[in-house]
Amino acid sequence: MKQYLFRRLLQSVAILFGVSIVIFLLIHLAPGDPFIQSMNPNVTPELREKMLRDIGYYDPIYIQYFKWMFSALKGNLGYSIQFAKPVTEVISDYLPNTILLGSTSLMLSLLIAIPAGVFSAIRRNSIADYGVTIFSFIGLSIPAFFFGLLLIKWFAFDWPILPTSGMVTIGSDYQGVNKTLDILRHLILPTVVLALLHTATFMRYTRSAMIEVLDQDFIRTARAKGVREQFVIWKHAFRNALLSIITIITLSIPGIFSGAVLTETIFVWPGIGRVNYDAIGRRDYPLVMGIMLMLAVVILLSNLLADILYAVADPRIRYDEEA
Amino acid sequence: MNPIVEVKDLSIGFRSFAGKKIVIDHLSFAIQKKQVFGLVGESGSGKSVTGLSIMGLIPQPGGYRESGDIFVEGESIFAMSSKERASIRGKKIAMIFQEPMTSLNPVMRIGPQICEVLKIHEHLKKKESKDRVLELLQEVGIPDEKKVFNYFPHQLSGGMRQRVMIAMALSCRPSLLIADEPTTALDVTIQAQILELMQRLVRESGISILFITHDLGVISEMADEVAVMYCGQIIESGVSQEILRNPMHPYTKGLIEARPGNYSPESGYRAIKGSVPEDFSTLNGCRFAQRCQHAMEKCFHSLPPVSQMDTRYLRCFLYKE
Repeated sequence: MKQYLFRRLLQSVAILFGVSIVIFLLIHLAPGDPFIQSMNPNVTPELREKMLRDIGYYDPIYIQYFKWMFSALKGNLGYSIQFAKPVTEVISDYLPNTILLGSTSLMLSLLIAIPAGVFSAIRRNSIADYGVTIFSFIGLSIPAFFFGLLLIKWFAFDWPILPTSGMVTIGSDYQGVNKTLDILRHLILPTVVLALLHTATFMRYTRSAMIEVLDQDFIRTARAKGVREQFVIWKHAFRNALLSIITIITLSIPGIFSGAVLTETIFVWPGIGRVNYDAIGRRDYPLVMGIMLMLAVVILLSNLLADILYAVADPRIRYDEEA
Repeated sequence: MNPIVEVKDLSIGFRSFAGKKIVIDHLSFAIQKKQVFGLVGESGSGKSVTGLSIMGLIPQPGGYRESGDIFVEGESIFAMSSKERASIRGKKIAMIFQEPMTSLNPVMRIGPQICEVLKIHEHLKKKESKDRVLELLQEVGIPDEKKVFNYFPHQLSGGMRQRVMIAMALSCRPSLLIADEPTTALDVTIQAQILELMQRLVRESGISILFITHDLGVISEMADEVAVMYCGQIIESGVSQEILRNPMHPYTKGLIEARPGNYSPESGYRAIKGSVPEDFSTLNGCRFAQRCQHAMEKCFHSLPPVSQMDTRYLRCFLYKE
């Protein structure tokens, strides 16, 4: 296992290197001058040219890449043009908000989806199962912006109990527990909107994984042993279905970090998704590249995590030769 | 003497979108103490469903009881709550299956899988049940039982896994073991070892076995009594040696004729012509009539009644007492 991990980490580094080249090239293929908005319009064209030359704008592209890569290795992702702050600082300002929103909504959707999926697998083709299926298709088909606006209408206009925008009440100065509670109140609506789509997907996934396992011979064996139905389902069947559920959960981890542009926009949530979107629109190259690179690392790590979890959950998977 | 299991006039059907379909049709038989009862028939004749029904595990979705009853040590299993039925499974009746490769939970170690039975039915503590399981593993002929205890199923061969299944089935000393084609998926040499093991168990522990198979050779070696099933009905039953030596029903004769041992270069295999009818609940007459060489006019219109000849029961118009 250790040897396997080491090999996988080396591979990941190589992949990351490739990804960084692709990100860099794609960004620089895009037309337009990123500094056009950041410079004082009164600066003369000559001075402008000189400034651009000084920061390396006219260097050959591979020189630019190596400059960027080596400083990235040292933890310096450059300066955001738009924020006039180091990229790492921008990311660390906004990423925690995104992670907070993403992970609570992931947790919420798993809490709903797994029991619902198992339930509808046990009662497959019953009215209850069809009900769950219809709900999940509704969940899959409602666009996030529409559902978000609907919730805002219901819970902020018709029945005003929840805040609709931001992460904290503007002008408030809560401290300690009150601050946490204030953030939690702001968290509710965006979490629900974001969870809706995931819930539907996870539910379908859990259902089909459970149905597959429940049809297998060892489930019949468990029943023949006299195991109570409840334990047949959770101890024998779910434990095996978990192997494929792990895949979809680990695959959605990058989603926690990348943020959700639509949901963040509707609820004015200060998250990385919107920052990334704006950065692309304003050609804030260093910031876009920084966020992309961060996401590439997260994706590689979650794939690695998935492989490790497989080995933990399924004894038939051993990455070492001798076992 | 009271039989251990008595199946009385049992009919089992399946509901689906296409409608109802009867797969077990007024089946009756009884298994006595220390008896090995063979249930023979082609695939699709309802043997496995019979075995599972005795366990109270009519295959789902769709399976249901149309009529009749099953008594385990005198108690109707259909009158029990599902909890009571679960408490009989593994304790009074245990079952082993055709596919040892897939019948064990792939993510649980061997030991705990067997311990689970003891925990459910005898509420044994971990330590006690571990000792019992090691004994059981030894009893079914598994070498290195301490190592195997910690193995996962995929680390064992098919024969070893079937031994584990048997150990699991025997763990609470049940009075009946239902063996559903236990040797079909195994090599011939392993097959012989498993049969030997089962014979030893009958001799030593006085367990009864319901042996479900399509292999007449295995029946002649193992069974005291045999029932031949065709399309959900028993068409001939009685003492196994008599029936195998002197089959009376044309289907039983056909089965014995069809054994691969009867192959000759001139006539090839003597298979029974035709195949099992897809849906037989609509047939009025004898289920075997279309494939029967001796079929008479009335065989197609009315179902032959069960007649008794000495120790033998027969469902055929050719023989009237």
